[in-house]
Amino acid sequence: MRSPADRYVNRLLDDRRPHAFAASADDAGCIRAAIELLDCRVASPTDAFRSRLRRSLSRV
Amino acid sequence: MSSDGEAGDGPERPSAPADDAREARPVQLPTAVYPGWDAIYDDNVTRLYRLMHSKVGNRPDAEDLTSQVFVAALKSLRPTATIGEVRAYLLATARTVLAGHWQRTLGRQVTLIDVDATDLDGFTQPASSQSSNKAVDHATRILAALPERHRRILVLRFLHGYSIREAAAEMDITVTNAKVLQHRALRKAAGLDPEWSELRPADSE
Repeated sequence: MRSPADRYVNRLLDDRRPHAFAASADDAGCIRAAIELLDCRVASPTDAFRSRLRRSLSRV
Repeated sequence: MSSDGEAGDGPERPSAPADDAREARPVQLPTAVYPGWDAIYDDNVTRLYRLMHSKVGNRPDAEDLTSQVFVAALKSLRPTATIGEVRAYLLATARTVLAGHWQRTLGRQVTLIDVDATDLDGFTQPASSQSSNKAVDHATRILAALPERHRRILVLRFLHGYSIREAAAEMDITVTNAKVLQHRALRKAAGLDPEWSELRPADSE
């Protein structure tokens, strides 16, 4: 099971940026299901990200 | 970046770091007005990040998309817009940014933001929010329709954060079998297995 969709989902599970690929409708369905399950995890922006974005916006 | 909002132009730019004031914001009515761009940022950065994370499922992409929304909105928001108008504009911008992300990465829309059904207020407090509870309910319904072994691998991997190796050990199967099981379980969860497609709960999207 080394499909691009499996690799995509496994990178989601590792909280890493997934690689782009041309997804079929089935691929998209699996990835959507994975995202829906991952939605249960609490997600908050890090302080580092908040500060970094604030600084970059102040320069725009 | 185009959006549906009509929040105007020419905001004050956020001043560099003032993070100590970011959490303590009084409850404001949607018709109230933000005192400036710092307040808009402080009040909405966490909401937008959580919204994006719920749509892409990983931190790096959620951070990128949140940044894109603010950069796009910064050009068009006017400081006299009400809180409700600002949030509606941010939401419309987020929808456009997310759609562009999916087109670039997978060539099709995997998730979307329904601006009529989504409220940024629901992304304030993840532990007790309506949105979070809905996510748990939705996941519970998906998992409940699966056979035990498929449910087990998805619970271990997605809800408990086990690695594939740890999940395999917990289930007393090989790593290869765990990968195959995860693949098949996700297909069933997505309704792609014909014999299970009718069991998948109706999606909100």
